[in-house]
Amino acid sequence: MLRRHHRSLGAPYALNALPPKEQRRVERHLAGCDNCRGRVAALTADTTRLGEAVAAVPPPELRSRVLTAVRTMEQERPEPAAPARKPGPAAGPASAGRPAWGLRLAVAGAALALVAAALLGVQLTRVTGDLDAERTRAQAVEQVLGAPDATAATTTGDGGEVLGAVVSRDLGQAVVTVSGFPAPGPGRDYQLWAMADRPDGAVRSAGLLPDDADRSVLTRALGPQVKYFAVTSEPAGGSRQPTTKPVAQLPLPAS
Amino acid sequence: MGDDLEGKLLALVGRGDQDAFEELYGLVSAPVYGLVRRVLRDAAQSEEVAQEVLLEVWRTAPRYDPERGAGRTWVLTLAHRRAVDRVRSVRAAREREERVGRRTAGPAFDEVVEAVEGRMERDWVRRCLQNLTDLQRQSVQLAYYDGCTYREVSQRLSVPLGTVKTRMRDGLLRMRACLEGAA
Repeated sequence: MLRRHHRSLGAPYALNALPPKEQRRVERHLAGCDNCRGRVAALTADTTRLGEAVAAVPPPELRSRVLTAVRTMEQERPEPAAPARKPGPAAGPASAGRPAWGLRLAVAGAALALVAAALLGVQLTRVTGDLDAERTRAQAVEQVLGAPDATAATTTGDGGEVLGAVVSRDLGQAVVTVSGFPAPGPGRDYQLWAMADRPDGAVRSAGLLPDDADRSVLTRALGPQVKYFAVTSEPAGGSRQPTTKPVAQLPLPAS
Repeated sequence: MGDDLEGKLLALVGRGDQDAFEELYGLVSAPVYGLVRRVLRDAAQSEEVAQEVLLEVWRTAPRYDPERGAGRTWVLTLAHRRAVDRVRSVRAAREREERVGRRTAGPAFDEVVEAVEGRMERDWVRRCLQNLTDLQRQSVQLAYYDGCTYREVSQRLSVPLGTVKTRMRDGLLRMRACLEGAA
């Protein structure tokens, strides 16, 4: 039987007007009450009408940014039902809580500092070029830096080459920064590798570094198994497997 | 909204179907952006939050469960939560109170460019909102469009908490009855 108190919280819950503590209490209650779930689902559907009523066409750039980002973004699979697991947050967007924006920025503060110089360099020196692609990239970078779990790592090679990365395991994305790399030389390219483990784990190419390898920022999809990034010098166009000793090798934060 | 097209697309998106996502984008981007913009007001922030929401739809689509509601409701609930998270965390409480205070007096529907396909729906919802008592309408609107908690609504309207909760429920139910009558 539904308690009067919970019943009265159904509409504020559907309107998302509860403070977090009461919201969680309602969600716990809903988990065990079919009737209440039905009633709250109906109220939530009502609120959707309020949302639809204020529909507004977004700027066209949003579409290309979102569709581009989705191409490399991994999806979150629900965990297989395992009775031993702790009861994680309830399924659905309703309870996917996030730390406050300010906190997230603070977490990513170190990451920002690492990337800012390189990013700035890229944008200042670019006279012509595809602005839209640039913006898409900047958005992708921003998204990783803003992720609650963003963690930064950096390493310096023997010749002062700097390889850095900001990793969000949650997003499955990494922002890679390179700076201080000398020109690769005629007939050569720098190639970035994602490695499962050192020294003989799986290695997959993460693409060539752009010509201005002196200062670049790239975003890359990152499988959970990837533990290292490395850069090697390869014949122009790249190789299937690394053929030279890495110029720089960067262990990635686990999570 | 008998057959839930968004829900069907979400099921495909949940299996990594990018074409289905593109189609879903066409259906939900205007409601998502419009709603976020209604709550946040600021165009740049709205675009940013709308983008976060749409990417979160892609990432979490595998978790969408049609048993729990229509696809459109799932997406808009997510959008509303993210928009409200943002107003509540970014804006200082005082600043927000001033803003809401100014806004309560203003028109309920604002200058944002409205989507053509939403116009019918918008007109009906607007009409049905006018059918509510003042207290019902203000309770619903302050919560949903301004991101106020029910406590804030209670303070703003100077009515007891219990009253706000029931006015919210009565307001939503009355609006539902009105919209069903209109359909």
